[in-house]
Amino acid sequence: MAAQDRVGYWNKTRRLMFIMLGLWFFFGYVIHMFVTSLNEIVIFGFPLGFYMAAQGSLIAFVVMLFWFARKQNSIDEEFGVAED
Amino acid sequence: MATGTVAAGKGDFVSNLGRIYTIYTGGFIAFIILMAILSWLGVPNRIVGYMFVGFTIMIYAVIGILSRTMQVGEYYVAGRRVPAIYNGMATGADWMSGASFVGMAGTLYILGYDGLAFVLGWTGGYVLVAILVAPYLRKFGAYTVPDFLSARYGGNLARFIGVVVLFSCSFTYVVAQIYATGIISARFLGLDFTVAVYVGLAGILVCSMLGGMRAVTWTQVAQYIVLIIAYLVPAIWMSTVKTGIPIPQLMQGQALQGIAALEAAQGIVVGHATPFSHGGYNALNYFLLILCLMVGTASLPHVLMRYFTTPSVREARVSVAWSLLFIFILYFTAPAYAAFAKWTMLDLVASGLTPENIADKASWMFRWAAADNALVQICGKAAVDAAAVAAACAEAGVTNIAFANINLNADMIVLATPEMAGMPYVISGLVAAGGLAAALSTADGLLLAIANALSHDIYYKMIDQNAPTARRLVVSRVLLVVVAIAAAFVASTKPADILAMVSWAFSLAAAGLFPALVLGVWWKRANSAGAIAGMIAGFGVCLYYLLGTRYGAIGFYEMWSGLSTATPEAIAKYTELKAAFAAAAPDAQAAAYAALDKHAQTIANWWGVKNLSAAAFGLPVGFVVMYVVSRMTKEPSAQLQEFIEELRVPRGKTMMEEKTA
Repeated sequence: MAAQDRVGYWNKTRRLMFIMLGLWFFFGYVIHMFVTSLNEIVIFGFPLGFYMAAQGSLIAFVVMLFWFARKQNSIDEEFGVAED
Repeated sequence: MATGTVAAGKGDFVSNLGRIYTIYTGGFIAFIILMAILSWLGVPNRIVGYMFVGFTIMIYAVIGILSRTMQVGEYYVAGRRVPAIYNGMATGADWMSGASFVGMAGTLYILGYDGLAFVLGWTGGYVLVAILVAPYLRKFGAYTVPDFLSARYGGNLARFIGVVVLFSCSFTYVVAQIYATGIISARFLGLDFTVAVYVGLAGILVCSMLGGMRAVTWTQVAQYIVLIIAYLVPAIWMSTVKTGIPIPQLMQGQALQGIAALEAAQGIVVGHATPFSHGGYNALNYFLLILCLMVGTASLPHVLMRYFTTPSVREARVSVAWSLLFIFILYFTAPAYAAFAKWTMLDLVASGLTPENIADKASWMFRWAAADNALVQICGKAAVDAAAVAAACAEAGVTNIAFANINLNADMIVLATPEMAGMPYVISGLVAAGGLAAALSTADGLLLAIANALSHDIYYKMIDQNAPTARRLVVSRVLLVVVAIAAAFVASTKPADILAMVSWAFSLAAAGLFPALVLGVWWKRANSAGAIAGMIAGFGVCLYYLLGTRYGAIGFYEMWSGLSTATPEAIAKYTELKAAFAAAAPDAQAAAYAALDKHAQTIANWWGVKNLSAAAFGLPVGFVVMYVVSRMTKEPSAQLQEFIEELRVPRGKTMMEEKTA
């Protein structure tokens, strides 16, 4: 693999990593900082702030990881470094 | 060759996994139904309990024996042939310990919203595993986590420090698992606790000793299936009874409404859903605990090593996603479990509970209190029978027992829920089998992580590089047994701080390993000196805070009183207790010291950070020291930089080729 390609590959990989890290920070921390105001909203009996910590963020984490696996794989294929 | 049959049938086994585990799941469900019928026909509860525990352990033993191996690659990384989805299931069982299964819903019951820090921390950590660490470790092709540290940071010093961190976090964790198996066997099989611990030990060894990672992988998949069924059934049952709809996760909303209404009616001010107000979790400690648990997840060697077993880097990434999905199934049920249990209890209290009618309404409490005084307390005393409750409540001046008068231990709530909600005994047996599966599977993974580090890193890599394969595998097995017996011995002494120690494992792993692992992949400039200094500093600060605030609280407070968030009243009380200790007569000194120490533990802290979140200090220190020392010393050689380039690219063979014959 040419050095230039390597840099390009790593830049894309790193960008994806930072996007994931940003989403992780949002669902892991930021949203729960607003729990008191979110609790004003009640859906199906769930105060929304409570819901986000009990289920919402967890669902987001699962979806994020499947999305990440696909996305990173397409980067691998784009640069021809995927495994056979 | 002893492994002939299994090795030859291996291809068949992997391609038939779906069928094998479907039949297994069907068989397990049929077994539950059979037990229900037997129970209905009048077979005593005790026999049903024995059959649940005996049957499941027998299955694990059969899998363990069928998976025996004498090949190094099979023993250490299951031949790197475990498909992503099955590795995900095995990781789920590896990850969800006795504490998750038995203790999590109970913690949520008691702490309400603030307990959700555990749910968030123990799931969100997998995002870090997937994006920062696991795929790269898989590409490197390590057998153990210290293997990677040694290759990346040139030499055995980094490897040795890695082993020290690994050992200290995994050993306390495995002691807790064996303790949990002892508790469950003692309660459901009626064995003496010490005997029960060694029975649990036998169950663990039979799974892991003969087949190493290969055997552990396939038993963990089987254990996942048992534990998830055992967790979901009571939750679905409660949801159906209470709301008529068998989806506890969804109907949790209705339960929360019910709880809020009953809490308001009973004058409970701090509600279940109120944030940052239970058990000393202010917002700072809530978020720091989430951080420590997440980062710890991404650093615990027994979790990371599961991703060494996938066939490719791509599968390793997908496998992390599957792992989280399987873990998620339990973790998003836990808050519902807790809510339904709490709703049931509040209802019980609202129905007018008094010392006179408690024997009719909730006699299950007496059985648990009789098993262990600390499990159920009413009006501040162990609720062993109606007379004890009446006496305690009369003393406290309570005529109607309020919710606040009933003190349930977090660890009994899941195990007692079937009785609390009036389910048949067969569900209790199922829950016991599930709790045992959770504790055994985690213990297997941890023991293997420790034994592999000792045999592969210390014995093979550091002591005898020419050791023949057969001897390496024998050494590995002997060490596994030795470590297991040592852990069982420690567990049988019932160490007091067992649950605290489990949480410490996360902080220790996070502070000791995370910076070195992450910067090793993502920062080429990180070098040997930086990593070694960073690991020692991070781990050291973390350990100092953990031990200092817990076991040396008086000295810690005296030294750092300027940083403590103690209130003026707490400081005054401290001065008073200290004076009392100084003035105490010789025979009263021990008691005075104990009182002083107990109080000091509540105020010995830096900026009010709980002992549980010690990595809040160790982690940044580790990163900063590693950065600064790396910058101050020479950059890694061109050869090593090429190594890192190679590590970042999925294509190509694993980088560490082991001598396997």
